[in-house]
Amino acid sequence: MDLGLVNVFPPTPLNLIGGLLLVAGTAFLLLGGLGLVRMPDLFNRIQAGTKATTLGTLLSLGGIGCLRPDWSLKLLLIGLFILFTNPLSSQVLARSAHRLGSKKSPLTRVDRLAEDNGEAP
Amino acid sequence: MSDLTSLMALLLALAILGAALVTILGRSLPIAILASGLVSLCASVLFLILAAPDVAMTEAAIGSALTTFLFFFILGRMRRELPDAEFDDDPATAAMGAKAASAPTVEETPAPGAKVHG
Amino acid sequence: MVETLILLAASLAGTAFLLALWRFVKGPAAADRVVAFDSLTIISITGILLVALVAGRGIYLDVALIYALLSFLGVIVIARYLEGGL
Repeated sequence: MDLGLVNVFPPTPLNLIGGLLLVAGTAFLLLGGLGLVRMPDLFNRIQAGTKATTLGTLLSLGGIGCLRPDWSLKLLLIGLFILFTNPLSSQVLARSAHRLGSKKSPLTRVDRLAEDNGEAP
Repeated sequence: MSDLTSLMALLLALAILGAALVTILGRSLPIAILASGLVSLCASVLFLILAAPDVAMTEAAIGSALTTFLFFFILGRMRRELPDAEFDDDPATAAMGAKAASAPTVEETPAPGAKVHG
Repeated sequence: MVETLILLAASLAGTAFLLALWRFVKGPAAADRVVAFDSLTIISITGILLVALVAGRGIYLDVALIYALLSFLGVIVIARYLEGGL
């Protein structure tokens, strides 16, 4: 299969580490997508769809930073933004779903926010 | 284009098709707005594959973000000023799945001690 | 060797994209679709990075930067709308 790579990446240790980090990151993305399909209710889907994909994107950014060290400043900026904004959006969404009373699966047993509010879990 | 980018473009075209079908066939207005945002997202990556980063940047900022914000702001204001308008036709896909799904069943089967006014 | 790893990474990211798209099309409630939309945005950031790596052009990373900045604003606006506070 022709990748059409512009740059040639010789198998130096740094390039190999970068490729392995890239594969590890996209494997975490795949796990996040699988959790998004397989998880039983909304709160578990938020966990799977946000935590795993954040880790996967950060690992991929690290891998591409190893493959192309001249891009590392911009990659660092992207990683910083993802690290700041992604948990924020998932928290806002989960709080909104909890406040609206989204259905919980019978497998979801712990609800600390309801316990803090003095309701039955 | 190489084989890899051709395959990625094929996947993105499939995603655009699916999102456009959700936009047209879905019965709920917020879901349709969300799906049209997804069309813009995939179109932006497709522009990037076609080597037009400026068009992709504009599509990402305006098509995927600003249009979605604007639609949701307008929808929220319409909901505030027209309280009896119905934006969510389908009770199975209503906002969070719990309220609208449980409300009709409560109406259909009242509690045994409840008296019906009339 | 590195080319094989890049190809493997691209296929894994494509599979993740398809799975999240399945949740977006199927998802019973609007909030499920919002979660799927957020995940699709993050997965396409990785896709943009792979396209930039293959094409060898650093200017493509600016699009990924815009996505990293703007995706969370969209999710927050949608969550506020669903909550009824907009």
